[in-house]
Amino acid sequence: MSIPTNSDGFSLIEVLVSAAVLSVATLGITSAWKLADDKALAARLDERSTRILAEYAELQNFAPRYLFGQATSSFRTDSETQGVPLNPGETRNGFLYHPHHVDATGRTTANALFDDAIPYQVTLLVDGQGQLMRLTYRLPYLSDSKGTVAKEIRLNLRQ
Amino acid sequence: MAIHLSRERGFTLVELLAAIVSMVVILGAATGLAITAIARQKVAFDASQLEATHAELANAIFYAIKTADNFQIFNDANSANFSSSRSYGVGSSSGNYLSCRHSLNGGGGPGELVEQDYEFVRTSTDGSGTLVRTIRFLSSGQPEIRREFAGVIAASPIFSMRNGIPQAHWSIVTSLDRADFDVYAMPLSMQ
Repeated sequence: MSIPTNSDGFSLIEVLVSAAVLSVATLGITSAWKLADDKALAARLDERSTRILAEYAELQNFAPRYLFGQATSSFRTDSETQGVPLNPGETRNGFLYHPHHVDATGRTTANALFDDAIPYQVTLLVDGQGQLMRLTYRLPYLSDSKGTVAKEIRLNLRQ
Repeated sequence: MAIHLSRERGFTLVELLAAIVSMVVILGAATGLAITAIARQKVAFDASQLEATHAELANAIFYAIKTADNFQIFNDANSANFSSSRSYGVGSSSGNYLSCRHSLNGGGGPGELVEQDYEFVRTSTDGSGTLVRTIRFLSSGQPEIRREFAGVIAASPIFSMRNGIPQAHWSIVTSLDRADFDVYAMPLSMQ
């Protein structure tokens, strides 16, 4: 009587283990890619927000006096508020990221269309030491509490 | 004496072929992943580099205006009116040509008059073009320094005196997104 042998191929367990190892490796690679993308986006947003805050600070410090106190609305668009300083307590909105528009088929549109993503708010605050400008935005890949980024700059206003 | 030959030693041709095919498949997949990773890195690097270059340009325009003894905006290079090396002719409230002049005193010497010009050269009807920065040494006549910043998008004139503030606005399109640049700068001599 001959005894059947398992040595002619892989067992189900071997195949499952190798598939699991490959899946973990693939998952690790894609996770590393996503992490790299997230970090690159965070660095880009950090650089842009710093630049925007510096632009607002320059505007706030050196804009002609007649521009202050103009009636403003926080819903005005960027182009309408270009070159207009903020009033104390006022918040100005904008977007830090304008990715290429992707159509319904998942393709990037040929014409130069861009979406508005990652909104930011710039607020002019007044405290005991003078005026403070604060810019806040939220990193999209983190939760509310961890993903909120706030940057501040104290204004050196002319006397 | 009988020699016992065993078929269990070594690989069969089928096993060898299967192993080679498996290795080729795995190497192919790994190479594909590596190529994709390198391509993604290059896209991100190019985008960052373009943005950093234009951030440097924005900084240069900011300090050129900020430290200028005299500056003027013109519609374009053809209408730029340099009446003398010390003063400008009539300019425009907005345009694609900005000229800033600085007097540099060289420790009791005759000093140097430096002119920094920024010109937007439109290369396409869709508003895209190149910003050209030229530094001229008007007193000593040293060779000018010229640098071009490509990939600029501007629907309206880049430089303006809107609301009485010298400012510049333009955009760039990277492989990932669009980045906007806004410069506001008040010359120290005007503050």
